Amino acid sequence: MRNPFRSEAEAYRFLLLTVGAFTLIVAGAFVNRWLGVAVWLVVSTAAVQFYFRQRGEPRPRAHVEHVGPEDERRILVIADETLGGDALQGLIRERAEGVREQVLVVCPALNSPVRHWASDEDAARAGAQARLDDCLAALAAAGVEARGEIGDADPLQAIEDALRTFGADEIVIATHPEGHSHWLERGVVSHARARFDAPITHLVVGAEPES
Amino acid sequence: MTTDTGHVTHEGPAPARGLRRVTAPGFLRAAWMAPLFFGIGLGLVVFFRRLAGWDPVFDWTIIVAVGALTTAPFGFLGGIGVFDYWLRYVSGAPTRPEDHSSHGARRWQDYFRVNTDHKVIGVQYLVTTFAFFIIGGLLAMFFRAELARPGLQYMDSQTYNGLVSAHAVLMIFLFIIPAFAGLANFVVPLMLGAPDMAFPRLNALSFWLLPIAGIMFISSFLAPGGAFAAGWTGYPSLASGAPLGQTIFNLGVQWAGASSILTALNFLVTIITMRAPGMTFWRMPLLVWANFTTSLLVVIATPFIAGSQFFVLFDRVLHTNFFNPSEGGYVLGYQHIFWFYSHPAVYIMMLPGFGIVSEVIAVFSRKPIFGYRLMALSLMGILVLGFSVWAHHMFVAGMAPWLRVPMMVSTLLIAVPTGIKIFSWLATMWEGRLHFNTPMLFALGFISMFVLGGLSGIYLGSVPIDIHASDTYFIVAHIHYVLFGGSVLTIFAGIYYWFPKMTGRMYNERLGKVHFWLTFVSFNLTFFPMHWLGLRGMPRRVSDYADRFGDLNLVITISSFALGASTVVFFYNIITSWARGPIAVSNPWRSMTLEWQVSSPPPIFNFDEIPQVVGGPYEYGVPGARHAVMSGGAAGALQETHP
Amino acid sequence: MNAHVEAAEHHHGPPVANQSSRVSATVLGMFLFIASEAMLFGSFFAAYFFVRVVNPSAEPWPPEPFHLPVFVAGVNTAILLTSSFSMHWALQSIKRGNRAGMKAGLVLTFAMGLAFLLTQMIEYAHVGFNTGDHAFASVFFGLTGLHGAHVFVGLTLLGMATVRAFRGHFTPEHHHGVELPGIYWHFVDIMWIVVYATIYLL
Repeated sequence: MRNPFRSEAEAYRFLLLTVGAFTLIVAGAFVNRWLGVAVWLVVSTAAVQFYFRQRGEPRPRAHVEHVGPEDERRILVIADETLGGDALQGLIRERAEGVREQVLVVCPALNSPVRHWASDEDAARAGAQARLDDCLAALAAAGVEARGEIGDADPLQAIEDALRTFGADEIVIATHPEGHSHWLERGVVSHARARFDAPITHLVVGAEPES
Repeated sequence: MTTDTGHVTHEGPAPARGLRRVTAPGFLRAAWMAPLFFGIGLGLVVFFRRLAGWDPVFDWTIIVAVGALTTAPFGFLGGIGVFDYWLRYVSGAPTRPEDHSSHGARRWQDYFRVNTDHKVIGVQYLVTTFAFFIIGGLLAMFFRAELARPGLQYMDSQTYNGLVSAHAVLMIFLFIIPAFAGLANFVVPLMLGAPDMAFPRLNALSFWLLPIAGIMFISSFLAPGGAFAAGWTGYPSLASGAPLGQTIFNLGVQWAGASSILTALNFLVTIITMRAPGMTFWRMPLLVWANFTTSLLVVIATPFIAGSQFFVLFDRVLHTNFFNPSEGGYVLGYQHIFWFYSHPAVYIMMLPGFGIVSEVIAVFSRKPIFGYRLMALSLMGILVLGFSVWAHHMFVAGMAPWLRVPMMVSTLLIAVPTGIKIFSWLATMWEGRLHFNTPMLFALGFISMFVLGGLSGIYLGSVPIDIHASDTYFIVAHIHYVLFGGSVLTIFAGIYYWFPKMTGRMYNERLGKVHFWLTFVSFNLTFFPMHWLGLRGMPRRVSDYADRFGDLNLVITISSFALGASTVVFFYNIITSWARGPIAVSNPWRSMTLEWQVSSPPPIFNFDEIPQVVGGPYEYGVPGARHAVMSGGAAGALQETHP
Repeated sequence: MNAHVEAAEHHHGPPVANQSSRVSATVLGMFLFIASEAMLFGSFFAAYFFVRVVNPSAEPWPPEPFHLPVFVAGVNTAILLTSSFSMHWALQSIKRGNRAGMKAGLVLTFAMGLAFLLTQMIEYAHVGFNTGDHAFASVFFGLTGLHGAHVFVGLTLLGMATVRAFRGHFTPEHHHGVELPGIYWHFVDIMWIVVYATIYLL
């Protein structure tokens, strides 16, 4: 909702709208008292609708600073059900090849809407932890040392939280293909690209792997 | 009182000499500016009355209303220096470089100056409000003494009415509402990761408005005709013709209301615009949510009590007829306008307490708050529903009968979000690792007593029962169960909980528990019998009553004296602990919220670096969960630009 | 935004607070203040509602034998509206760097606001009834008086802005000191439209 008084120009426009609205109301009332009331109701509803519908400007992009030694490369991986797949494992191994790397795997504790609003997170966390443990074990077996964290249920928030302390040079977001992915429905990858200036690789798991 | 964490900070300005002493901001300057502005008010009244040809030119009622109750307080405020910076600013003079000399307390004298530090202001609020708590409590003990036996022993009815009215006004406007504001003032900016409130000078002004209101109300006892005696509700037509004390009430409420509104505005802007990075609304502690909703209530509802008092004032002083039916006025209109604020007012007096209890219970159960999001939403639900129930105070006032049932329905509905909160606190404690220290005891006492008060509220929400119980002691019982058993117990919980943070010392735990149990027992002995008294027919606001109520009234009076005595334990504990209690560590309760991550008391500007929030505030027992990263090393990798 | 601070060499003053919202704090504060003042007007409109609608005896409006100076108040409305135009012009001017336009706009706005207030006071003297005459008069003086008090506050704010403008303050980038009184002034004008329509016209 936009504040109708967020600047003098907006307040001035609201004034002009008020003049117009009350001219209509008074005119209606002169014709018939109840017409005046009706006009007032219609005008007020329209105004409320108009101001509630407006959206603010999009957030400016956040800069992700490199943290740690110059030659170290930090990769932030965010995935949920796709954690266990070979595609993601392969990509991480490939990215980590030959460079000194720190890999942080974040698994958001995805939850159903009902449980989310009831703040019932235990099952979601447990599930995410199980997936995370499997993934980290597989990576360790392949010689990649990775850390893992359970993230916020909102993947964008989980990325933001991890970036605050990890400072990634690259972000890998793994999702199911279009049409099978809640994350893509909500535009997680596109919003992440708009929000953060770190390079983002989108790995689609389940169909032909494409980056 | 504030520990200096090794920073080089400036002392206050050097003590002024000679003429500078009386022109430098402070009480000395206020001492001559207040009478001067009284004189200006008097001059204005005389000038306009002479111009309009009205007799007598020296109408003292109007001169007091304008001079003493309107212009003189501005002189006082100007004298202590609350407007100095702004006046310089708007005059266009070059800005003086900020030396932070009016920020923070280094000596006890700093607490008596205009100070812009929210921590200092918070302590100023708490000490001031507890002073009025003592006065309000003494007033109650005076009239309880009168009520001990049937018949009038010590005072006449008019004096009695004045005591009752002043007791309520002081407790509501000068204790409960501002005490929560003071506690929040200290804690909320720290909890948000902010260096101070959004408008620190406005914060200082908000505080200094409060003693003005308090002194006005108390001074009404000296007015000809005695203190205002129409209850804290001040209905016309009784209030329309009452003596000068009533005018003092009309205007005192305005000063208290202004203080409340400006504070609420400050909280809203602070909470919306100054949260630490990563602190989304759904990661704010519930105390912040509670103060956010309370502040919305204050900003929207308080102007209605201002309006209602203006109308009575105009009827009294300008001979208007807002409430004079023989000249087209509508008497019941006052009650509608008054209760449109005063019902949300009871939520203003309770929601911050809900926030305090959430903090205390989570920490001392070592468990996340059950249903955190629903707890926040229930606060918003109470906010919205709270505006739809005002006429349940008017079921027997003679208003349109068709309005009663909808008001009854919405009143009963409010039990739903409130019930969600009660069950959530209980579920938070379920299978938690409980620590029964003093704040926790007060929180638990609150839950049980507030449920009792809420139940009597459900009874009263039902029209047929209210018709029987209205204006009886059943109402007095309900009020005190929710206000004392509710709000006051949470204020005590909050004071004990944050005492180490505010003072850097620990209170005495054994004395704290003694205080709790004495309070809890004497409180119930005082107010529980009032349920019976009311249902058996004893009316409220009466100085005398039928003989058959004598025994219970004696029990109540004696218990009320015990209740008064129990607060002595509290004051002794607080004062001696503040002076020479054991030094407190920064986080004695091992809480995760941000205020506990800095020293006790906090550094003068709260944080060296603004913390980064990476998780929820109540993740106790969740492996690897963090609420915030404080500073140093890897923190700050995400840099957000702002327009 | 994030300075690494050495504990030993601490700078004086607080760390810069994080801006968690794109709304400017002072503008938000002004909006909330206006919301609160609008609610105060709301309580006065509630009194009007009780006197005119709920009370069985208040038709017609104004009740006999009172008359309202609708035309003069209409002229006053035009004056206040014009003052809002000049206020807007003052803001537009300073945003484009036109200092003369800003100063002229502010002075004009102030002058017209003052004219409004004086006209209102003269009308009070000539309206033919007093505060003590009937609840109609109470509501009339109450609502217009409350509005007049807000005009007075608005004039004070405008006065401050004018003083600073003539002392060389305000630039195209920094003109909060004109923007905020501008917002308040438009609020005062909007309130007058509502008061005028309700009391005089309807």
